[in-house]
Amino acid sequence: MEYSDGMLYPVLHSLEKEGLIESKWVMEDSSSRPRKYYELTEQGKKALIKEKEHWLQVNSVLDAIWQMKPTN
Amino acid sequence: MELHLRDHIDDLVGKGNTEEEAFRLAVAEFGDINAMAREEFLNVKRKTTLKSLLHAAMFKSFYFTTVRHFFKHSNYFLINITGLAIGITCFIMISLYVFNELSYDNFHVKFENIYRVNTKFSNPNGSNDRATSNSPLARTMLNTYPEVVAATRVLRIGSLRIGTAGLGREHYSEDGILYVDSSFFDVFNFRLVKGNPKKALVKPASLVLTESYAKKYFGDQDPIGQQITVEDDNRFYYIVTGVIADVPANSHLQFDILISLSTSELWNDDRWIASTSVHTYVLLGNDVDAMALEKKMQEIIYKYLGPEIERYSGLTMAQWEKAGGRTGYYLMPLKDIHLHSTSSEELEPGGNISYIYIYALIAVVILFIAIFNFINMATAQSALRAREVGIRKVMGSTKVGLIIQFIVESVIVSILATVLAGILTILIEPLFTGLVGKELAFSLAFNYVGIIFLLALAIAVGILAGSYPAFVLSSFQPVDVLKGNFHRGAKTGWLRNFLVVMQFTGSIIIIIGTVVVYKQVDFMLTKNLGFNRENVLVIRRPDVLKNGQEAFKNDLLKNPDITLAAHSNTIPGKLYLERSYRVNGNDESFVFKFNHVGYTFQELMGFEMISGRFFSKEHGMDSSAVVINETAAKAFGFVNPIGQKLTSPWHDELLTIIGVVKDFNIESLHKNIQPVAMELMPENSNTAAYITVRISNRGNIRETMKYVADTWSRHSNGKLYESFFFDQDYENLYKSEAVTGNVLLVFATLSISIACLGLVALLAFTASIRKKEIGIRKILGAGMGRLINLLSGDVVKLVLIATAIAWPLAYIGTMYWLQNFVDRIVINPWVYFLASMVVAVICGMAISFQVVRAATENPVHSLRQE
Repeated sequence: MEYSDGMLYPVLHSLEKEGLIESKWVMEDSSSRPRKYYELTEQGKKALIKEKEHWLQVNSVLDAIWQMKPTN
Repeated sequence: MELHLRDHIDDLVGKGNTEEEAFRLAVAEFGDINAMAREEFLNVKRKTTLKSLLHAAMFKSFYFTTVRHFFKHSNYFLINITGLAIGITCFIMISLYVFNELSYDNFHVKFENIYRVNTKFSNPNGSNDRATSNSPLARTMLNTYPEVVAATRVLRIGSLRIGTAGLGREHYSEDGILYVDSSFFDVFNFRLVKGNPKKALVKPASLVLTESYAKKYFGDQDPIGQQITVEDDNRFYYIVTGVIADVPANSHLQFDILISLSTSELWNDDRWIASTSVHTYVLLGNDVDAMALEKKMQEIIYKYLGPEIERYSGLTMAQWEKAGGRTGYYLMPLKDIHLHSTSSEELEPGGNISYIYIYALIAVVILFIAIFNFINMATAQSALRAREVGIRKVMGSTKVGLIIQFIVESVIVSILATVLAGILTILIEPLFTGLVGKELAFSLAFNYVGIIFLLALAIAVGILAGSYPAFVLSSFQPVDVLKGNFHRGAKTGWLRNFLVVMQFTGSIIIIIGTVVVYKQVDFMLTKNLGFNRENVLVIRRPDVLKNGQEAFKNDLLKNPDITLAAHSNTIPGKLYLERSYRVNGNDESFVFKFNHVGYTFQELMGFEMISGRFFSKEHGMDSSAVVINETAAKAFGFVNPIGQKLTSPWHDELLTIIGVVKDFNIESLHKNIQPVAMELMPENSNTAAYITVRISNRGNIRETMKYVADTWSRHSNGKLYESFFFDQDYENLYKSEAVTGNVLLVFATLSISIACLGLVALLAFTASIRKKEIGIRKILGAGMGRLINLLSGDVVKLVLIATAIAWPLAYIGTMYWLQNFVDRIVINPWVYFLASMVVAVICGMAISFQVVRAATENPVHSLRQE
């Protein structure tokens, strides 16, 4: 599956809308363009832990399936 | 995004690309713009657009998971649908009936403005409320009050024998005849299919038939202008002047034939009190204040009735009122007649609004029992679908999406059940009609409003039943589910128990209600009413025999199985007219129910004489004698009534009280015992309306009946013979109670069945879920008893709780219903115990099957599945 740059933005916006990340514009020096920086919120950190657990759970179940040998 | 692109373009340009190439490359690497834009657009808009909801609900995968789920657990699915379908069928049937009852008479266009004029009458000894009024009233009201737009009289005089001149004069005895004024069609909207409504009933001897009756008498010929003979009226032929559409079932006026009231001068003179009472209907203008008109009508009493009251009672109006006499008219709205009228002399027995409430309540209770079943089953089954929910959530389904998915599922089940219910309703409608004893004006088939109503009902039930399970299911956490931490049904236990308790409570109440109704009806039918009802044959229209009544009776008595014969004006259970009496020398007037009877009437009916004697041939002066009942004697206030003298407007001479009989019921037990007076009907009188015959039950009843019919035929020259058995006819008085009893019985059975169905399914399900647990327990040594207790211990507790709730509610309900009767049964507390026992036993049976099966299964099998 190809993951392109553009796919990132809708996800970022929706995560921000849900309050899981927050953003700020940073002007590094006057010559270059401003950049937007995203950071996890407290809520986002909690959600991350949960999602990681979910993912690991699904992963381990699927693992078990891949490794199962056919029974007689 | 724009800045990102610009950065990227700058990088690419720095690597040596032209600006244009750099732009193309950057855009290409950015990704699929359209998809992104859509995604972004959806983000910007509110997440609850239908598209996003459907998207979230994963509608496409719905078919695969849900349909597969249905087929995998087809047993529970079928039980669910069956229970729901039965519940909805009951609800629909009862709703149709209730709706039908509430819709009486509303097909008349000016329905809101039509009233019937009732007469109230009272004196210190009693009062009555009659649906009839004096004959000249209609005409007088029309001429006196501009508020009255139209007025018509309706008169029923019983059955007549009708025949067609052309068809060999065959006479049918018809009961459904009403005599009406020509203004009948001005007030009511019975549709005249043939003929002119303005002219059809103007001339005397004009006759209008319903379509079915036109067919009955004339086949396919055009009935207009044809002649009809009325057997007792040899003056002229009646001419058919119109054909009317058949009268709908929801009309309180029921008839097959209309005849013009102008036919007899008797009904069109100026007498008020002495003329035949009629039913007067008036159509008022829009926005007329009926109450104000009612008050004004009092002046009619003074102007027209006053002089006649004076003539008959010898008192001036003022004196009569001072002695406590009151009479007046009041207007009863047409819409209240069928369900709210308690007047006597109604044209047809009406319904009773309190029964409508009861039926409506039953309908709702049954529907909810079915819905509770559904909820219970769905929540119990949530264990099976927990994994599905978990995976869906991980894959991105939102909680709302899941809720919608499950509600849609239950709406679909509900729609299937409702379709099934609709078919069932149409199929069993004839059975239901037989149960309640009347045709329904509305039917479900081919009725667009009905179908829309059904659809709305299905959706409502689906949402109602599906909401809770949907919430429970959608709130599972994937982690818990996939780890197997999910406690199957532990948290939902309280709701399941609550619903089961509600079902049991409903069932117990309905059982108690059924038993009470049955006992009360039984009581009314078997109570000693003060006379003998069995083996009494009643022959109608003996006036046909003209002067040969005595000869006929004597002939009957020749048969050894016929012990007594008597003639009379009326019999208990039929209409009793009234007469007024005064104690000689006293002004106070007493109005009693009245019967003209023959010598043998008291012996035949089995009335008990308390003092004095009944009429007898040995006393020549009995033509001026009166026999009264206890209530009448009390009204008079005599210490010893025998020998007291009375005056009556119907006699010039004084009357003597010769006997007092024990009270007997001339009407149903809904009403109090009335004071009754009987006078002697002379032997050769032909004004009797009935000849009663007592048949001994030693002989063959069939043969005796044949003998009576043959004797009649000889004496009447082959005129029509009509008879009925007294007890069967009397039971008609309790028709609406008997119907209620039957309805309750049927629906009690159904509601318990539905509740049990649910219980059985629930237990089967829990047992199957806990198979592993049961297997292990068995291995560890649990006996059958312990296992049964494990699976069913709850249920006993639930029955007890349901009992505690049901008994007080049932008590209140039955007391409310019994208020309708003056003579009531006393409810034995055993009835309550019985109801609870029945529910407990049925539960026990439902449990035992499942539990025994689960407990006897070889634990090896259930464990091996792991």
